[in-house]
Amino acid sequence: MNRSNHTLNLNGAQVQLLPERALFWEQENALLVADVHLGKEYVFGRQGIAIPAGSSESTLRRLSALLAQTNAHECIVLGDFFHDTPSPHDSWLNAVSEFLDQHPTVKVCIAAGNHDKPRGQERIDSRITWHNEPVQRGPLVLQHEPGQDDRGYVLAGHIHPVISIGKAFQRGIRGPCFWQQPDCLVLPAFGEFTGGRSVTPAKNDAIFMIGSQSVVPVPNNALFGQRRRTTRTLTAKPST
Amino acid sequence: MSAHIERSRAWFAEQNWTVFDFQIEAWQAWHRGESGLIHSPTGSGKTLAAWLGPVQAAMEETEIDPTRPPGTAGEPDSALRVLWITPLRALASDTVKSLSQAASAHGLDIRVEARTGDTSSRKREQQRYDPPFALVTTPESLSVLLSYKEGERTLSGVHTVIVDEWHELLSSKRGVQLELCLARLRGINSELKVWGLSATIANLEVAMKTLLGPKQTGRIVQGHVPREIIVDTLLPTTIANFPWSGHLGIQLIQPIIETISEHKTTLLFTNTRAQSELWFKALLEKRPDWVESLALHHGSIDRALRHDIEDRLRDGKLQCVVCTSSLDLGVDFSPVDQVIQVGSPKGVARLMQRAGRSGHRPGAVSRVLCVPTNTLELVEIAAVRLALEQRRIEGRTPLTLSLDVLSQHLVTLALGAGFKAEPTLAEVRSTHAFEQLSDEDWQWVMDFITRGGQALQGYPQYHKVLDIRGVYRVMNKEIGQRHRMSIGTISSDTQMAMAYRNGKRLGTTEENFIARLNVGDTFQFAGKSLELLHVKDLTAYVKATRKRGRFVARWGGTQMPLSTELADSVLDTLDAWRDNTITTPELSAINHVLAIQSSWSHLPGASQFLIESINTGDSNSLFCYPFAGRLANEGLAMVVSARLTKQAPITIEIQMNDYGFELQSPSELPKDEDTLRALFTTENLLDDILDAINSGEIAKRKFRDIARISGLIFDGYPGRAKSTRQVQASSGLIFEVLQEYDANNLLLDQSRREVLVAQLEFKRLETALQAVAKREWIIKTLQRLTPLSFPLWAEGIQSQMMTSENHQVRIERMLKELELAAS
Repeated sequence: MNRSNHTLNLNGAQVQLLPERALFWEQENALLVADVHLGKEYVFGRQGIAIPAGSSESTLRRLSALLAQTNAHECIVLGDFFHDTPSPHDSWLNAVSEFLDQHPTVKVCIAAGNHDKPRGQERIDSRITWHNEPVQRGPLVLQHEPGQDDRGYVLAGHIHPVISIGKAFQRGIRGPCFWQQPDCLVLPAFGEFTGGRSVTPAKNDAIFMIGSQSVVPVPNNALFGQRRRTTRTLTAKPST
Repeated sequence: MSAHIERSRAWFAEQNWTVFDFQIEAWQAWHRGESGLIHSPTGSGKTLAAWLGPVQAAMEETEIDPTRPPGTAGEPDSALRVLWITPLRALASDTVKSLSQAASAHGLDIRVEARTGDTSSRKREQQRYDPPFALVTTPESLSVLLSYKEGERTLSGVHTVIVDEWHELLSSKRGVQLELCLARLRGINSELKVWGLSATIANLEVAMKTLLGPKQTGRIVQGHVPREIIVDTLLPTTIANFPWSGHLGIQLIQPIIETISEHKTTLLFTNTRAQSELWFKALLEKRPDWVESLALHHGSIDRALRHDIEDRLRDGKLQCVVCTSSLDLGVDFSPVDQVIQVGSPKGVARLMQRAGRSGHRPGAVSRVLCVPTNTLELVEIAAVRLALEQRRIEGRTPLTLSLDVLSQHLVTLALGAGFKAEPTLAEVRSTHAFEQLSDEDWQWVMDFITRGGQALQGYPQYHKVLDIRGVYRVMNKEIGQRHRMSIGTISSDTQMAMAYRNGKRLGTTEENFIARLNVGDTFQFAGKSLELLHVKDLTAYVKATRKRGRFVARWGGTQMPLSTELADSVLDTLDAWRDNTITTPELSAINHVLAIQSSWSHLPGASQFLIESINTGDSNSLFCYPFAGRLANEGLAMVVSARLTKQAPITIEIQMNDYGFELQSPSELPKDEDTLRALFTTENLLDDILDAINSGEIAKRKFRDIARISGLIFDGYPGRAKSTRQVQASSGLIFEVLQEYDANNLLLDQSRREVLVAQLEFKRLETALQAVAKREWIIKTLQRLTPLSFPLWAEGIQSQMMTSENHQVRIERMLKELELAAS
C-alpha cells in the first residue's frame, strides 16, 4: 500500500496529517503533536497501580524517529507533554534530556496544557521552551484546549479524539482521528499510554481516521448511527 | 441439647407446621460440630434447618448464666456468633426479619442485623465495635469487614457461617472471594462450622467440597424431593416456517392476557432485560387499566423501585410482574400462583428454579407455562420436558486459580490485620480454588502486590503492600480507601445512571447505549417512554414523554447458552420425532417446519453433523450445527475461521446461536468433507484458539473484570471520581500496555484462560469437536435458506470479524461498503 499523507490548507497554512498521529507544517518545517503524557505510568506506580514502565521511553523514541523522518527543524507540542508533576528521580526525565541531545538543532516548544503544571515544567530539561498562553504563529493559533481565536485558525489537542465507524448498533472499527472543525483542528493523542474519547462531529466537520499506513478521510455517512448532531458540542472531555 | 430441639418442635406445632426429618438431621449435625450442605427446593424450610441449631445453642448459653445476654459468653470479646451470607443484598432485610422472628419465637433476645452496601456507614462502624449476634451480609461486605484493622477481632467469636443460595455463587468470582474469606475465618477459629444452602444442581458433592475446602469433611442433608414440575406450552395458532427470533411471542399476547386475568398473581419471566421492557410495554398497551397492577422488575432498575415492587408483590397487590433472573432468587412471594416463561429457559435447572416460584408450599406441584418466541423454541420446550423426566440437570463448575481475586484478597488482609507469607499461603491452598496454586504463581502475586510485578523494578516509589518485619501491610491511607471501594463493586461494563431532572434515579444502562442516542431521542426504559435531555458526569438526565420510544435500552452481558444437557435432549427429541416415537403438542405444531428442514436439507439428530452451504450472490455462507450452545459455538466458529484465515488472506464474519454458527465471506468457503474435517480437528486446538483470541478483541473485553479486581483500574463512583482522575485509564489501554511492555504478566494469561473457560466454554468446545468427529457428516448445498439457517443469517447483530487482512484494508473496505449502501 502506498503511503499517503493527507494535506490540508488551514487558513493558508499547508499541513500534512501523518498516520503517526502527528502533523507536519510545511512552510514552518515544524512537527506538531499533542497529548504526549510522559511519565503517566510512573504516576500510576506511585499510587500502587502496577503499570509496567517503558511506554514513556517508547513514545520519545517514536517522536525522535518522526523528527528524523520529516527533517523538521522545530517540534511543537500542543499541551500535556507530561502527565503529572514528576518526581525528581523519575527516569523518564533523563530520557527527555537524551532525546534533546539527539536533536541539538531542533527547537522544542510546548503550549502548556492542563497537565503541564509549572512545578513540573521546572523539573524538565531547560532546553525546552514553555508557553502558558496560546501561541499565535502566522495564520495559526497553537494551544492545548480546542476553541476559537480571532487571531487565526486553532490547532489543539486535549480531547484525544477517537471515532467509531460502522453500521448503527453494530460493532464497528474504533480508532484515533483528526477532528477538523470550521475554526479548529483537534489532533489525536501522541503518547503510547493515552486513551481516547469518542467524538460526535457536527455537520460541517471532517474526520480523518488513523490507518496503519495513511490517514483516511471518513465520509459523513460512515459514522456510527448515521444520524449526526446539527449543533456542535464541545463538551467531550479528555480521557486520560 | 435435645431439650432445645424439643423447644423448636413445640414452636413448629404452635404454628401448625410439621418438623421435617431433614431439619432435625441438620440441627443434630450442627450440634455435633459438623459442617455441610443442605439441599432442598426454595420455600421448603431450609432456612430454619440451618438457623435453629445456633439458636438452640444460644438458648442453652443463656440458661447456664441467665445474667449474660446470649452471644457474650465464653472467651471471645466479640458478641458476633453467626454470619449469614446472601448472594443478593436485596434479600438481606427479609432474611433479617425471618431470622429474628424465629429467634424471638424461641424466647431468645438477640440482635440480627444486615450489613451490605446499603447499610449506612455509621451503622457499619457501630457494628465493628458492637456487633450483633448474627450478621446478614454479602461476600463483598464480609471482605470489606476483613479489611479493617479490628475486623478479625470482630469476627473472632464467629462459630457458624451459613451461605444461602450457594449454587448461585459457586461458579463465580464472588464464590472464590468467599472461599478465601472462609479460609481466613477458619484460620481464626479452627472449629468453624460452615453450612451451605443449595437448590438442585447435578454436582452437590463438588459444591460442598468447594464451600468447605477440599480437606474438610461434611454432610449433605437431603431435604425434600424436588416437587413435580408440569410444563405447559402456549401454542401459537399460525407458525411461520422460518424462525425469526423475538416476534412470535408477542403474537401470543391475547391468550397471555387472558391467563393473567384468570390468576391472582403471575410472574412473567423473560431471558433478557430488553425483552422484559418490550413485554411490559406490549401488555400495558393492551391493558391500560393494569397500570397500577402491572410491574417491571430487572437488575438495572433502581434498587428503591425494585424494593417497592417486591413489597407490593408480597402484599398481593400486583396482577403481574414482568421480570428477568432478578426474581429467580429470593424470599417467598406467596401470592404468586402462576409462572410464565417467555422464550426457551435454556437450562433445566433454571426452569425448575423459576417454576418453583409458584405454589410456594412444601409438596405442592409447580406449573410453568412456556411461551415460545420462535418456532425452534418449541423443540426446546419439548426437550426440557424430556430432560426433566430423565432428570438430566446441569451442574455448576467452581472457578480455580483466579489470581485477580487472590491479589485483591491479599491486599485486603494486608490492609486489615496484616499477614505473614507462609501461614497465609497454606491457608490459601486450603481452598478449592487455590488447592493447586504453584509456588511460582504465588510468588508472582506477591511481587505484583508488593513491587507491582516483575516489570516494575524500575519504580522505586511503587508501594502498595509493604513488608514490615515479615508482616505484609498497607500503610498508605489513600491506597487503602481506594482498595476498600473497589472490593464492593460487582463487575460490569461501564454503566451510566439514568435520572429525572430532579435527581430521582431510574436505574442504569450501558454507556454505549446512551452514547448512540442524540438529545431529544425517545426510548423505552424501566417500562417508561423517556426523552434524553442531557448527559453529565455519567448520568443521563431524562424526562417522561408521551411519544413512543424509538429504541429499547440495551445492556451488555451475554445470554445464557443452551445447556449441554438441554442441547443433548434437543437432538434426542429431533431423533424421536423422525422415528415417530414421540408426540407432544409442541412437536405436532411444528411438523411442517421440521418437514421442510428434512426435505430441503436434512434434520440432524444425535448421530449426525449437518453443514449447509449457500451462495447469496455477493457472499458465501457456511452453516454448521454442532449443537454446543451459543458460547462454545462462538469458540468453534473462531477456531475454524482462524484456521481458514491462516491459509489465505480472507475476511470472515461470524454469527452464532445455540444450535450452530455461520461463517460468511465474500471469498469462496470450502465445501468438501476432507477439507472441512481438517478445519474441525482437535489437533493444535489450544494454540489455534489462543491465536483466534489474540487477534480478536475478546480477551481485551474479558480483561476489564480482571483489571478491576486486581486493582489496575479504579472505577470509583459517579460524581466521586474527580480526585482519582490522574490514575484512571481504560482496561483496554492497560491491556495494550501490558501486552507491549510486560507480556509475561500472569493477569494477561488469566484473561486468556477466562476467555477459554468462561467465554468460550473450552471444555464443551473440545467435547463438541470430539463428538462431531464421530458423527456422520452431512454436507448440503442449499438453493435457499432453511428453517435452521435462516435465524443465523438474519441475526447479524452479534457479528464478529475474524480476518487476516490488515487494519488498513478493513477500514477502506468497510467504508466502501457503507458508501455503496448509502448511495
